[in-house]
Amino acid sequence: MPGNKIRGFIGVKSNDGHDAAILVVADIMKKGGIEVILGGYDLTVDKFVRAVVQEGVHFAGISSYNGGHMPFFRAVRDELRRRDYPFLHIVGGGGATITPPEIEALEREEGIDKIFRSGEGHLVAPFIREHYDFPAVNGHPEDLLEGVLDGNELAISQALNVAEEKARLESALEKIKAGLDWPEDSRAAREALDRPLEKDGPAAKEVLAQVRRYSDFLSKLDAPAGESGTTVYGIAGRGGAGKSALIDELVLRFFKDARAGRKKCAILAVDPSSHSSGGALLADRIAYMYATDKNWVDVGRTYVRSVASRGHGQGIARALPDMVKILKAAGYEIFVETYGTGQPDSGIVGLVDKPVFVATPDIGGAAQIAKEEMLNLPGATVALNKSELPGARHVSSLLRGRVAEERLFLTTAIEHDNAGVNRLYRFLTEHYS
Amino acid sequence: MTLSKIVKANEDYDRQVEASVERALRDEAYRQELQKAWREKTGAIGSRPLPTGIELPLVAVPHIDHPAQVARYLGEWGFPGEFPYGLSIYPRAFLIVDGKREHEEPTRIFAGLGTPEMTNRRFRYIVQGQRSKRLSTAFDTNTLLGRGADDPDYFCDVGEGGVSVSTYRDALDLYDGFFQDDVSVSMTINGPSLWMTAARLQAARERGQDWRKIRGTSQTDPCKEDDAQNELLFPLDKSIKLAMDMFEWCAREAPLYYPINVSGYHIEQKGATPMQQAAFTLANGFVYVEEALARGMNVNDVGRRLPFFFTSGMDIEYVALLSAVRRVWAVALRDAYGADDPAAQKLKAHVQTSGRSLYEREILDNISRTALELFYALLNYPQALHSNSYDEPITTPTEGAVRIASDAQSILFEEMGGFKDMMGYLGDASGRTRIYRGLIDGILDYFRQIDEIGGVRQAKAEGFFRDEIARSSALYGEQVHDGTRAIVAVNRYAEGRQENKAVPRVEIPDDVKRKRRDDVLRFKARRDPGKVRDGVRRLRSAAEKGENVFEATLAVVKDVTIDEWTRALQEVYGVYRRRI
Ligand code: B12
Ligand SMILES: Nc1nc2c(ncn2[C@@H]2O[C@H](COP(=O)(O)OP(=O)(O)O)[C@@H](O)[C@H]2O)c(=O)[nH]1
Ligand SMILES: [Mg+2]
Repeated sequence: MPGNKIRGFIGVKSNDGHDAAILVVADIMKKGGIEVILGGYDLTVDKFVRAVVQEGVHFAGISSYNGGHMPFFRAVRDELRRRDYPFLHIVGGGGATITPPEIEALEREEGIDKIFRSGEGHLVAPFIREHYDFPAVNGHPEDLLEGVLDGNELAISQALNVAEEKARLESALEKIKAGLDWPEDSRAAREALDRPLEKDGPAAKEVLAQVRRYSDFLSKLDAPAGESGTTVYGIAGRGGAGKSALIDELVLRFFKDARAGRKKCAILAVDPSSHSSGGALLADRIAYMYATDKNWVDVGRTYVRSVASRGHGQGIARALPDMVKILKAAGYEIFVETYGTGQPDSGIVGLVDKPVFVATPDIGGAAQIAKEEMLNLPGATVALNKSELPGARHVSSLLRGRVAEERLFLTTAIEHDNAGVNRLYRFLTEHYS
Repeated sequence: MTLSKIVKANEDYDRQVEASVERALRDEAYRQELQKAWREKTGAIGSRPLPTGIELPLVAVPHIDHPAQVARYLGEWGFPGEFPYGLSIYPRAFLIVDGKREHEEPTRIFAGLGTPEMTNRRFRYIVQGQRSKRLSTAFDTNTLLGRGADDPDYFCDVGEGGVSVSTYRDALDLYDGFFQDDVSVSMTINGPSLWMTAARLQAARERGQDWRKIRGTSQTDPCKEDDAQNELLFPLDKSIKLAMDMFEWCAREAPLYYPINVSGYHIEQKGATPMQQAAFTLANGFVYVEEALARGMNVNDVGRRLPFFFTSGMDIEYVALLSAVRRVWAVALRDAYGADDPAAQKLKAHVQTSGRSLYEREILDNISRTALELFYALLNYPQALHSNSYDEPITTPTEGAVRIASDAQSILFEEMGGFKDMMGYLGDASGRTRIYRGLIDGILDYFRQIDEIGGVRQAKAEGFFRDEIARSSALYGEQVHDGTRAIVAVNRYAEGRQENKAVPRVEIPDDVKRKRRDDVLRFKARRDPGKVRDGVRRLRSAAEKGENVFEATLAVVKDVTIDEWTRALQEVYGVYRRRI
């Protein structure tokens, strides 16, 4: 197989806001070719474990400074074990607040793989590449089917890994065919390269066979013809427009909305991969404050998954259609957040039922607006977010030239119970067609 | 909110100084005037003999021949205690004359651990033998995040790293014996600061203290929370509104209390450079100034009530950091805001040595680092000072380590010749002057950058402060790793060093945590449920109607616990949206 793509989730323990270290560590990991999902700070054991399971990562990284780390490490480990999480790999750090005897206990007796001490930041990426270079899919995909349909988070998570693996192997095959290198830079990739790969050589055949297996499994999740299933909302726009905040607000309203009943809500958040390292820093999860907090929503009915684009472009990832399919099969309403590069994000248009473009007052003048592809689609729906900022009125009148009045929403996602977001929510759930 | 008028006032001021230097070169009458003024000032200083026979002036003044130099010195630095307060806001600060100190010693020791009772005992230990009673309270992280000790999700953190306070009862216990007018209490708390301050005020009143005489500080600086410390409970604009509610109330009802402490320490500890610390902290301070003025407060009342908090670290910039910040503030308050009361122009500051500069390896080396950082801090004449304990990288300081840290200050103040003998004895040294100038220019340059983004609030919203800090933090790490930044025993002379084994970590046993939890549960159970409901309703209604939430908090704090207060306001304001 081509070298594995390693994914990890890192965050700071509950009641701890010391995030300077994970910011440094996340950067190191990204530069080291790892896809790292940043969970932010102040994560309870429950939030932490949920994230690890939903994200389906190879390893979990805990940072702790404020004390109480021993019980926290143990609780995360026990809870992952209890949930049968297949990749029980935990690393961590906390400067010198985790003392040498504690480190010894954690590493020797408590099943923690490694604690990085002060000044050991440079060891992090090599350690991870050396120890966690294994396939993201554990066992036979077919065994996941029942679990996915039952809405079992672990099965869903593994199925999502299947989708990502399939997409990755397909890209790899295309590259083999084109006579290019393996896309990954890892030990296995280098080994594979040592053996010359022919188009129809044994290694390529193996990859092809694996892709077929994965495709077979995923095709079993196709919705029966005529069945509409759940709704997929697509939220697109430039980075920083407020897409994550807006989705989070929409999810909160979902849970307050009596009509929604026992419906479940999933978020697929796509962020770009680094061209140079192949790694990625996926940080949308931090912004889903309500969607991941049991004090605000029923977290048993939300699912958040971060997706690296892996060079696919158009604001989406190659695996995204399959991932949407899996979550639909599991019964989720789905929000897809795509990243904006200032370029059109219309990659999601064919994929979702209800696309929304998020603009901001600094989007630019009429010429700039004319270039935004999504705005020029028939029936485009636009949230002009950060509408409390100067320039919003001007931009909204420019937008009115392109977007139907009833499809333009002036929102302020950082304001609680914002009227514009309320209107957008109603439109999306009642009128949008 | 833009900073252009502050930049302009400072640029104008620099031009005025240059103009007066020029004039002193050309204009004979002006020269005479300056010479006369200089003679008067220096003549009044007084002196004393050292045992070696040196007759030492009490205040150091430069040896100046030409009136143009006088003009530059007075304009650039100002005499100690005089505008623009580059040297000091007090004329004599730490001088000891005839065995008596001019000002109270600035030492403050940060303490807090476990239960309110445990911390109260620690406070009593700390004030033993101290002339002034200045307490500085560290809270545990449950408290800092507005969570009760009875929250099962956060049980393991109860009392760790600071004292746990969840109910009004706890406030009474924590400061028991310290509800006296000569005690000043500082509380390092932000998100739930209104609740905590209200609890302390009500407890003080119950013990017979008059609010008009109550002294102390609470941190309540939401801007730097957004930049660095990550303890906001509500969106930034709402958090600022809450802080200003308390600020406005205190100016009226508790005039000796400082409800906001504008903090650069956290910004720097997160990884900011000294320059970023100076610029961002000042920018945050001006946010509060503008907010207060928008509420119709008098600028003199505002300026006087906004003390600051900075780091003193190992970098050379710290030799003059506070001086530079003071100068920018003084000129801004006087010339851009029209504050004519010197008390408002004088930036008061608490300084703490840098925690991040301390390392675990060869841990006693931290004593040297801290002592040197103290020295840099003192060259800037801060109003209050905290020295870190050598075990800072590992744990909330152990008692022995606290004593050593506090001794370091006494050694500098009383044992070592210098600060006690001669005011400003290194004040306008040429190196310090160069750094002072560089910092002022750098601060103004950051202000211009901030304005280019659209002002302070906009720059924060776009993550400019956080991104800049993160960039510097990563760079610092790289420098330590590649050795371009020397850290002794870490990347220099590191071979064969002892790893720390000796320092015991302070830990709170589970039975103490359980007791805390049970105390809080008992408090909650014994309350009149009607009062709690009414209290929560009152809070919500004040928030919804845009009324002064601090007043509402004072009214309900005896019944509504810290977590209930937090939730009630989050229901109205929403939560703070976290980010990278
Ligand atoms: C910076 C700092 C702060 C900053 C934090 C800024 C931020 N947003 O991160 C500020 C000033 C805001 C702060 C506040 C507080 N702090 Co503080 N802080 C520190 C300090 C000085 C440095 C920690 C740090 O970030 N180092 C820089 C990092 C990059 O380097 P490092 O720690 O060596 O980490 C390396 C490895 O360990 C590893 N690593 C770390 N985590 C991870 C995770 C993974 C997955 C991996 C793979 C590797 C890894 O990689 C890193 C890079 O090389 C320490 C003391 C010290 N000298 O260590 C106290 C310290 C951690 N703080 C402490 C306390 C008590 C607090 C407060 C509670 C104080 C209070 N009562 O108000 C608050 C709480 C803040 C909060 N919201 O939780 C205590 C904790 C005491 C204890 N455990 O017993 C300490 C030890 C200081 C002390 N002795 O009092 N603090
Ligand atoms: N001023 C303002 N800031 C907002 C608003 N919505 C989101 N933000 C902030 O903008 C930043 C980027 O938001 P985020 O949701 O992560 O954007 P994304 O990259 O599009 O997902 C965050 O700091 C948000 O808190 C808004 O309506 N007004
Ligand atoms: Mg986002």
